[in-house]
Amino acid sequence: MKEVSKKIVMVGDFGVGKTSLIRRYIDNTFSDEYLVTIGVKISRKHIEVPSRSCRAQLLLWDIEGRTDIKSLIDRYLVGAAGMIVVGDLTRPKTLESIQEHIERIDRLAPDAKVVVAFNKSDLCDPLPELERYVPKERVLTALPTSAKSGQNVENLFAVLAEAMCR
Amino acid sequence: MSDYETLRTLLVGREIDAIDTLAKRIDALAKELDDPDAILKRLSPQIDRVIERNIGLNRDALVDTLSPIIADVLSHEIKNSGEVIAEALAPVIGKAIRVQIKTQRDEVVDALYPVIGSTVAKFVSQSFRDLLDTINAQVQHTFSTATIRRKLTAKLKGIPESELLLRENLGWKVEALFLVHKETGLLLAQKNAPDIEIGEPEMIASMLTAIRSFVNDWLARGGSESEINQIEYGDATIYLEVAGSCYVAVVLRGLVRPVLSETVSRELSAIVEEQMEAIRNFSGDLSTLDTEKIDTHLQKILDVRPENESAAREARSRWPLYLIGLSLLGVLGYGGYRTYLSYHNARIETALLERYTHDPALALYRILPHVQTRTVVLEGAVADTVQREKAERIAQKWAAGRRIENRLVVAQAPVTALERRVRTLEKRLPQTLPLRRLSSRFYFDYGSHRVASRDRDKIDLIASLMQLYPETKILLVGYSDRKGDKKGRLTVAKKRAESVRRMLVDAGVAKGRIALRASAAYPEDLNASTYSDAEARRVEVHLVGEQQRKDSSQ
Repeated sequence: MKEVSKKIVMVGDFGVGKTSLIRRYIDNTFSDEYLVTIGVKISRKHIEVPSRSCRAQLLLWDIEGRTDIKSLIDRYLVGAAGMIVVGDLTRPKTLESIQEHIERIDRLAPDAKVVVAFNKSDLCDPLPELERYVPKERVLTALPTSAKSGQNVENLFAVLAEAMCR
Repeated sequence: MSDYETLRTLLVGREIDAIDTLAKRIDALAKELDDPDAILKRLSPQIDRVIERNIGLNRDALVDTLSPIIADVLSHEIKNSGEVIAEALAPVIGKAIRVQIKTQRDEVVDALYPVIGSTVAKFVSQSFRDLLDTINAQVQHTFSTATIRRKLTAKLKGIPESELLLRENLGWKVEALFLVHKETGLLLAQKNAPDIEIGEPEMIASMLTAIRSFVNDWLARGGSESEINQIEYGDATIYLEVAGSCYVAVVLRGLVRPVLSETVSRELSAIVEEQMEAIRNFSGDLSTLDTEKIDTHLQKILDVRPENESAAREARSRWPLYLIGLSLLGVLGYGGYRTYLSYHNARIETALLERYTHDPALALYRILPHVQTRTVVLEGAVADTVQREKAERIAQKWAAGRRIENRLVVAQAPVTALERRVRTLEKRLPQTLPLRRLSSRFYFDYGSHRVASRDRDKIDLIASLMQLYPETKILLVGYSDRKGDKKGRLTVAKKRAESVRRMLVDAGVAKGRIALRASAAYPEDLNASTYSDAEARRVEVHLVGEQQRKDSSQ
């Protein structure tokens, strides 16, 4: 079985639920209280992709949304193989900035595979028109997710892991 | 001439002449065609124009035609007239390197690292050896009964003299090693000592990379690219060395010694040399690397022991100890009276040494008092004449009538290990350390503009930061909660900012460096949904303009 390690970066505006998504997905919270001061938190998850007979180790870089040092975010993005862009369904402004995050990714890690999470779907019924927020050709998938109910969280990471094994 | 010929001349005479002339010209041309020199002579004035025309018409085709032979032409020329080529290229070499570094820095580092790394390591280790030799020579040359006794005193106190000069005998041990891909933070290889357990090495690799990014980003100024070399925590050190696309992190107890940094440079150099391409293109699949080879190199770093360096030093340091022993025998045999005198002198010497060690101004310098029967000789170096005189005054007080011979040299020499260390660290600090943030808030009770006593520390901190950054100016923005009318809110907000300013001025900050503002609006981070009265009653501190450290010009 092939084994790969990949750097995955989570980006999104402050308070969209990046950290909660990771918490929901991983119970390993090794660095939870750590490194927050430098604006990034790192977690790890192993995931198997049977269709590609591959085992991927994802090193998840959760970038603090509030950090005001833009150049620092840029540095953290470099070298990423995958990106999870998160928006908050209850705050349209955070959905508008998804495009902006993707542009930044294109500049700094053009080969990175991108998935989009429209988070807090449990608070939003019915769902708004989502397609206009994502450039379809650039992202692998864009799913409504909920860290609270767990909706689509596994799916989102599975899509990304599959891409990492390609 | 016959009639026929006359008729012919009349009819075609002119043409015949022309044909003759033409035939002659054709003959001449045919000859020229057989003569390469003649062809060259005719063509050469036109060659430039032909090339110029071709460049204009079909540049790509010309490039295609010429490019296969360019390399051959160059190597041929370099072989035959290397100096001319060198002269022609020399003016642009520097520029080319600069461009290359700008666009492909990692490649250049990869290529140069094996050479430069070992040269630097060699230079550093040589300088260090020289330093040690100097100290040893000093120890050997300053023999006297007094120095021997000082050594004994030092021994009895459990502080060998050599340790006072330089923290030579500090133990250290490599506990773990991480070889990390620089860009992605992915772990390439890891090793640790058998008695050390490392949990989650992959995460540690990512975190170290994040920390590196953070520090490099924070300290990088004016586009300069530097590297973080060392992280110290208590007696543990993380020593980092970067080579092109990867870096090695060595976790050790104790301080980094030259023998270790030399080994790290050497082994990392070998790793980069052997697997430059594979490491650069690493994308998370360890099977693309020759991990066994990497492991062998890392093991060599893990195997470095302090004994390796002390063994080398022992040979040098042993013979003065023999001499000490011999001299001691001599002293013991010299008789009771002399022994008594020496004992007395030694006591004065110890007392003086203690005074010098505990004096705040002199503690950093190595002042060696040699107390003899009638004189006290002061040897060593201090930074200025004031300290020199101070040392002499102290000696006079304790010399019990002996004459003072002050041989202290005023020199800007680093004297103790501590000071050397401070200077090294100072060098590592960037010349201008930016003060990026000074975020602080003061909260107030309802309707009050009194700064709470718990905030005294904040005032002190800001005052001392402003002393450190004398160019710094700050802006205090006062806020109030939503109670009352706008005018009342503004007044109390202003009073709050004024209170903070007053306290800062009391703490020594010039009034002119503090600007005030009052706002009746919500503070920026509060909105209708997150609004809280207690949080809104506050004064925010903001930095104004570019901050430079006080000692940045030194």
